[in-house]
Amino acid sequence: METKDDKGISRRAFLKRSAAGLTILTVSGVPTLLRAQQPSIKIGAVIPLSGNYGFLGASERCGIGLAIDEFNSKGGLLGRKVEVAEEDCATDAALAIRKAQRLLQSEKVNFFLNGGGSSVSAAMADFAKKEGAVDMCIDPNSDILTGEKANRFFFQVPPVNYQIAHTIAPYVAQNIGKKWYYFTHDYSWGWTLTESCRKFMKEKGAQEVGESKIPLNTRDFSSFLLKVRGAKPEVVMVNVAGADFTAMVEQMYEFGLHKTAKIVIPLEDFEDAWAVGPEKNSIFTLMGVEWHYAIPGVPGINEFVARYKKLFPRASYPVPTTNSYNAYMGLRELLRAVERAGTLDAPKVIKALEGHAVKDSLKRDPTLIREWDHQFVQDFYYFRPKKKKDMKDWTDIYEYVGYGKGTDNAITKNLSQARMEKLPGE
Amino acid sequence: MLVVDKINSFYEEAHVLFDVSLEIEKGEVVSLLGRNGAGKTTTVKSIMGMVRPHSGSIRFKGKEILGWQPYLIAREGIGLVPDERRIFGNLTVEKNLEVGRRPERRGEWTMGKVYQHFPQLKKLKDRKGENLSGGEQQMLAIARTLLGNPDLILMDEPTEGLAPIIVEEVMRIIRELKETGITILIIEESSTLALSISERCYMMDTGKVVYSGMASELLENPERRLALLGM
Amino acid sequence: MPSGIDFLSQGINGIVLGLLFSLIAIGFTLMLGVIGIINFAHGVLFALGAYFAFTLRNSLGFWAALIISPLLVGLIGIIIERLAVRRMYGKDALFCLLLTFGIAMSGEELIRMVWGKLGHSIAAPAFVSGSIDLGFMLYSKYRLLLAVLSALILFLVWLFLEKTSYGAIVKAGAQDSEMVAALGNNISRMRTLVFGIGSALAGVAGVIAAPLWSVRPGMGNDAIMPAFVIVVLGGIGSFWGTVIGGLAVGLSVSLAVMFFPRMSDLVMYILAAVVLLFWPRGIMGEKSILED
Repeated sequence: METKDDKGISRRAFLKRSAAGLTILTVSGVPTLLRAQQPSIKIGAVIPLSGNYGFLGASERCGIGLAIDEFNSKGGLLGRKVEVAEEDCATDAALAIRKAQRLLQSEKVNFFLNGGGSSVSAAMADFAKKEGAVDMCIDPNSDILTGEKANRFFFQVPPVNYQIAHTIAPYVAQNIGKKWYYFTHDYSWGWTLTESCRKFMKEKGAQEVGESKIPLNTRDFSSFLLKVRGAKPEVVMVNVAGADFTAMVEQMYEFGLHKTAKIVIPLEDFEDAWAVGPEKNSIFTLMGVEWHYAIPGVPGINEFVARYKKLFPRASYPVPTTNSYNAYMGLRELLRAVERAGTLDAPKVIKALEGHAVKDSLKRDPTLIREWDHQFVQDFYYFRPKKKKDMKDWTDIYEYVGYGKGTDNAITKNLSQARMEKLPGE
Repeated sequence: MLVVDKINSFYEEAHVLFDVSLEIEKGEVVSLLGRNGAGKTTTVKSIMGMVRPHSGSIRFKGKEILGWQPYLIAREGIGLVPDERRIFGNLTVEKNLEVGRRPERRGEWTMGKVYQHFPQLKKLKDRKGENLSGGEQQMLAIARTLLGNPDLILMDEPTEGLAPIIVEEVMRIIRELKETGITILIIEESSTLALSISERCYMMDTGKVVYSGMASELLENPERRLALLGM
Repeated sequence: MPSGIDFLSQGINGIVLGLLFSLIAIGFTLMLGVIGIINFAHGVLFALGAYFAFTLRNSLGFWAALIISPLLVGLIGIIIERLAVRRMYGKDALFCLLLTFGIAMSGEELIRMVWGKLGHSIAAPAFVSGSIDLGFMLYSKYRLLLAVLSALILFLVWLFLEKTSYGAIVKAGAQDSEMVAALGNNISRMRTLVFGIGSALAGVAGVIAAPLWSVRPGMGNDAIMPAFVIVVLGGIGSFWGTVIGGLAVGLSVSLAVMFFPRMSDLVMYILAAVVLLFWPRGIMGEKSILED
């Protein structure tokens, strides 16, 4: 029996058309399957191009570019070209996840790279696990990323606060001073760094004479700086980062804090030092730096720097920084693991990464990709400001003092909160 | 000097002046009388440009000034001593006077002459406006307007709210000004006072001019006056 | 318990900051008191002052930038007033608020387009770079200069308002602009001038504050928020109210760091709320246009 609606289309005809439509839609899913066999391998890069950490994004892009160029210039990965699809997370976790979703669904990326601060990365860690997509985390230093957030799909490239504190604090206690004052950036990164520093400070017989928690987006540090004076510290530990750090350095210089105490910054980004300029940066006695292009006695660094300059003659920074380095390392090792595994299948790639030792780490010691917390266990350096007369050019701001081995200073299994889940089939 | 010809003024939508006309010759003192709400102040505001009549004409010294901005009308030579005096309370007496000065209009009234003529103001020159008594404020308002060397002064209710002894003082000043030959339009609710110093008068009721004539006539005819006042 | 010297050093710092806050707020107060408008664009004018100085300083030096930049901002203020703001006089205060808010937003975007979105830190001029030993504490040389400049400019504003005849007209205009017009003064031009002066004051505050707080496209907030608080605290349209309000904010922020450091940002708002409880019109406030 036929029923007609007022447009004169019979119901049967309508159903036929719908069925045809559905079939076409399903069949068009075949190209989706076929796409997995398509020429290029896609990396989804969710990085900060604006917002509080926007300046990091520029450096990270260069690192990503270097890794991709390395593979594509040698015929690609598994015979296929490597491409990157970039999205700006603007240092916002919710935005980052939306963009990652889009990258996964529309762009059909195979793997992820993420940066933009601890909250973005914490969210991406959950996302990676949920979606079963491997994600390399390239800029934050928060302990939870290799602690409670650690999972099989998420890999942490930069060292975390525990290791940083473990490298810097003992050196400072032994060589610089015993009475410490902390400036703690008033959010989780700042708190955990100070906590870790305290632990090692006490172990080495130094004592805390005071702390000021610096609220985010503080513009005026004058009152904090004047307050320090009363505590009469020998050492001031600056656990503050980003735009607040830049303003703070200006004002520390203005108030002559370096004339009355030795200022230490356990974690400094070249980009921040660049922003304040070498004269102001020289108020520091010691600076913890993950990587620097002029670390002496490391093979391969000069070639790496030369390649950077050739590929990016007009980059925001004329030399690669820690953030370019971490982005490069993270992506390069991911791609190498894919090569070793011979497949894009996530569990196999994961197993190719876990336990792997990276010999050409561009640091003194090889970097170990630890299987029980997925930390890239790498060396951590410390420098003092280079005197102006010794500087070869204005990027040559750091003078080498020493370093701590990743294997000596990274958190040990018994202290770690990391609990890795089993992959299907294990 | 001033010819107001059939002006019709409105407050918002309300028609408040109906074909109001009046004239003032140079050197005259003319009074404008009527009950509260008759339209006297609106007439003054219309002349001063603070209210813009929708029709009619206002000619001052031969020029059409209807539609002019108040400040230009003041500069042309009309001075306003408003009802409620409107002294600048946050300024001193001296500063109040300074705001009234119009150096481009040359004339006899300078700060020096004002202080000479109003010695009480000189004594009070550093006192803030808001700390003056009603009578002192009235004197200040008049002096302030005089500093603009106006050709025509519009005085709106100069004796309102003042004690009798102060009223006498104010009237004395107005008489002295009259002696100097200055042209004055004085608005008063108290008709006796106004009539005593003016030659001619107009009377208004509900937005219309209802009488125009010699002041002496009304003075001698109190019943007529009361009838016109509608009491 | 902090020592006497701690109080003294925070106190001095508080006064220095307070003078800067007063300077930041004075232009805003003038516009509100005299013209009766809430100028949301005050922050972006402050930012423009800083950005112009940033650009001019390299070619012309600190002092030239200090004088030229506010003049440019004043000019922009006059243009804004003539083209847009004056159409809002006599209308509901809300219209002016929305207009100046729109100007603020687009101004900030314009700054981003012209100067880029990254911030820049500005060095203090070389002759006041670094610290000076005051005996009991080391203090920033630039901040001392800043205090002197702020006090000087505030003094010039006071001089203008109190001692010049035009200043008397401006003050009278704040109270009764209709009467001022009836006495032969061109109120329209006066409003334009006051807007221009208020803008120039915002601009000069920006120039002076830049080495302290660095220039960023969003730096207008460093100015507009304290300006609001100070005007509320000190009373609308009052010169001394603004100065006292500014000092109160500066001191409370500095001293707060000694006792409630994590609240130092909030302290100015708490202070304003407390003051309003007892003096709803602010410490020196008078009934203003906003209350009608």
